[in-house]
Amino acid sequence: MVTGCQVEIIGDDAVGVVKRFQDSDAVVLGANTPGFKGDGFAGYDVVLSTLAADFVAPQAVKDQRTVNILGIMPGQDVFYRGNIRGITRLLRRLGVKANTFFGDDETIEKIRQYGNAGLTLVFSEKYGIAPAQVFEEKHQIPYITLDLPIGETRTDAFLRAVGKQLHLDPQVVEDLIAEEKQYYYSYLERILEIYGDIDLQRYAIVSADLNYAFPLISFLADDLGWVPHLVVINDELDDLQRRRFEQKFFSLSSEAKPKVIFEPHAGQLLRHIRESWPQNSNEKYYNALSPAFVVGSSLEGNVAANIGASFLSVAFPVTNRAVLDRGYTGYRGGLTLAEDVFSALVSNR
Amino acid sequence: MSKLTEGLTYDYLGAEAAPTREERLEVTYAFCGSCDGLKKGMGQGCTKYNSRKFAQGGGCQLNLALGIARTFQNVVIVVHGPLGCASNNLARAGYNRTFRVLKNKPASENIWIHTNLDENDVIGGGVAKLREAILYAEKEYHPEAIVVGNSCVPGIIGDDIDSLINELGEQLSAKVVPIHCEGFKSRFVASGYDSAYHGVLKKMVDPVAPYERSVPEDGGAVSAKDREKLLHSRTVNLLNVGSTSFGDEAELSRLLQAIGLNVRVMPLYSSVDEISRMGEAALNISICATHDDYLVGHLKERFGSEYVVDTLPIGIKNTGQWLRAIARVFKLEEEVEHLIALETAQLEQALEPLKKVLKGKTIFVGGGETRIFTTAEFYQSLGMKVLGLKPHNFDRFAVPMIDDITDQEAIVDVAPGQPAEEVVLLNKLRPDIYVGHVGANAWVMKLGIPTVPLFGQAFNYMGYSGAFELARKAARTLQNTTFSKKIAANLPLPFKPAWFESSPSENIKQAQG
Repeated sequence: MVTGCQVEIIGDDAVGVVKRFQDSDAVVLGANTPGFKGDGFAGYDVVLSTLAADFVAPQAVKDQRTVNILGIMPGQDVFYRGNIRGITRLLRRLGVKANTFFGDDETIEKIRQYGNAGLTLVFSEKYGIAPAQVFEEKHQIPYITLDLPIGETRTDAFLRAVGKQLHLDPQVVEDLIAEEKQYYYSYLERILEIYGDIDLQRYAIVSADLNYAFPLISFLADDLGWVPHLVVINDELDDLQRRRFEQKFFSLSSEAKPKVIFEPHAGQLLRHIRESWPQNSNEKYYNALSPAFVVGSSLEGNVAANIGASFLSVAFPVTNRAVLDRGYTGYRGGLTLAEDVFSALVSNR
Repeated sequence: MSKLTEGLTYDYLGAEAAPTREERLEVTYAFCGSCDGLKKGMGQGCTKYNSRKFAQGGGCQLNLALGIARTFQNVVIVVHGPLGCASNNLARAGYNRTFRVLKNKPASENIWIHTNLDENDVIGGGVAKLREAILYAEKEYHPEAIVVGNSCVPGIIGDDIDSLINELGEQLSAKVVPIHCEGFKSRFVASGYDSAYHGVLKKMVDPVAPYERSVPEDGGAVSAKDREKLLHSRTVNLLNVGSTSFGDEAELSRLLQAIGLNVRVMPLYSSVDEISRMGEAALNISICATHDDYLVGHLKERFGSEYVVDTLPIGIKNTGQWLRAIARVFKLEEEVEHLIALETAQLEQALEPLKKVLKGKTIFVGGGETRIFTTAEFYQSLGMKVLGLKPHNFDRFAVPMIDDITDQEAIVDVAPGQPAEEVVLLNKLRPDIYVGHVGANAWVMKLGIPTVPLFGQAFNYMGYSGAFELARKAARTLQNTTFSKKIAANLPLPFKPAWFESSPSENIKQAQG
């Protein structure tokens, strides 16, 4: 049972009513989710916290090779199932079982057992942390936050972090990385010739939510060698979190580092692009922000067209693509994203 | 006339095929040494018969010859040979269509057919199949011209395609054009340009009466006839090549129009009708001697049209030199100096911030001889250091360009393709940026060296605006050099360590005697 604005404003104790049914045969859970208290991300946190607090059965014995996965929101992450699958697959190869909540083959009964995990992985710096904290307090399961492992560089970091946290044999982790990379590069090699021959390096502009912004720019800069120019994060953080978050962007391997802007309002991307680059005041020689590529949501498609940039929608909402089991996590997800990005560049040929 | 073509003659149209570059010019395709060494070597002629101990495939002139012909509008290409000879068309289909769109031409697809010669044809001859193919092309597509590219097999077995083509040419509405581009005939793929233009000149360019140059009479009214004469007297053909972008053509046209010339860009991507009237211009302007000398030499001998074969207009120095050579023909020296001064001042100012980024960086350039020397010269003028150059071949047309390289000890590796040799050289030199021809860049990336393409259909590199583009592209490349480093770390080149220890210059077999 989830609540809406009306019942919360007039003061119905809907959740209290639900609690009267806790001994019934059916599982009945209630969460306060009025629209005036937050966006869809907040709703995810409330519902997952409720599951963790009221539904997941306490378990005394933890399996140190099982992890809970949080922070990847159905729908808000259009590629959520594919992304979860990519992460699960890599963990399985390390001998780690993943409780995914929203991935393939999940059931209510399985979720009831998720108090067995030894660690929670939150693939966000903001979302999924609240339920992770409930797991920590009620089920004594610690958590770590990670960046969504999109492509090679971020997946390297993800696997090493998980390996360290779970005290896995470093050699096992490195062997997996080596094997996956060999596969990754054996396919990436196919783009090399056209990349070099027609110059597929682009100025990269990313406009995305907090979860996608850094992994996407890292993929474009670290894995594809693009010039990271501008990252507009459609989200809010407090000052301290923001400063810590911004530090990530200095870790990019490119010589140039991007300008990072937190912008909760939609429709501001074009303004930020214009402010990030000298205006063309009709000079004969104008060093334009070109060739550029925008990775954002479908809402940014017009901005890309406006500045003559190529475009791919990845962040929510994605209205111009059919997404089924596609995912961008892991090395293989990096190949998929590379296919989508480069296809956008050559589709007019 | 041009110093570069001094002593060369072009009276070959009576022959079925153009002579090869090795017959016509002093050319080398195998040399590795310093700029200075090459200059002296060319002077003494000892580079001419060099070859390689280990050589890789270097390309086929058929691809270059048909690369010209298939750009013409409303033509059908007939590749006379086994089916493999036509395979290059597959890769080029999207490329040519995109180029037509970029150049504001009808976005037509390439149409090619091939005669699919098999074992029986090698014994019995392929002329019957060629006849069938040409008639099919006429009936099915009604093109304005049918261009037949002759491959090695009919060349070796001795198919008399010219008799057939002359016979059918009388009967069909399409012009039927033979191009003798049999790959085995020449080690120099640039021979393909001559092979193509030989056929074009023979069958596609109509004779025109020479006309007198005209100036308007002082004060008096100008008659329509005089106006036409005047226009013709200022009409120039700006001869494009396969790698000139629309941006290049627009920029060079802009500069020529600025000194009062009427510019026609041709013959690539032109209509058959435009090509037929090629002889009408007062001046043929080449941007690449390697590409055009045979064509312009012929037009001069046949129609008396003057030509300019000088340098390739890339960078400030060479664009200026090219413009001056053209202006001299029309006695527009004063006008052109004014233009060059204005353009150079504006460009220099725009280049300042980019120079700061590029100063002191090192560069290596590989590709066609005139383009790489002029491109290297331009980057050098921005404060970069030229470590080396790798022309596909080297001949008299690029000899004067050697002097433009400040460091005469910079390496010149004359090598058509030959990536195995090139990577050894680059592994030793380790430039900050490699500027390379299509096909070379992926190899170089695997050494961890960032690359910039030497040309591209979407890039304007020529003229003043092109210089700006070259500079900003190099500067942008240096803003993230991660990709090639990662590629090098994860995708090794397929050579043993000992190969990297070898010396590229020792791979060159010196001519004996």
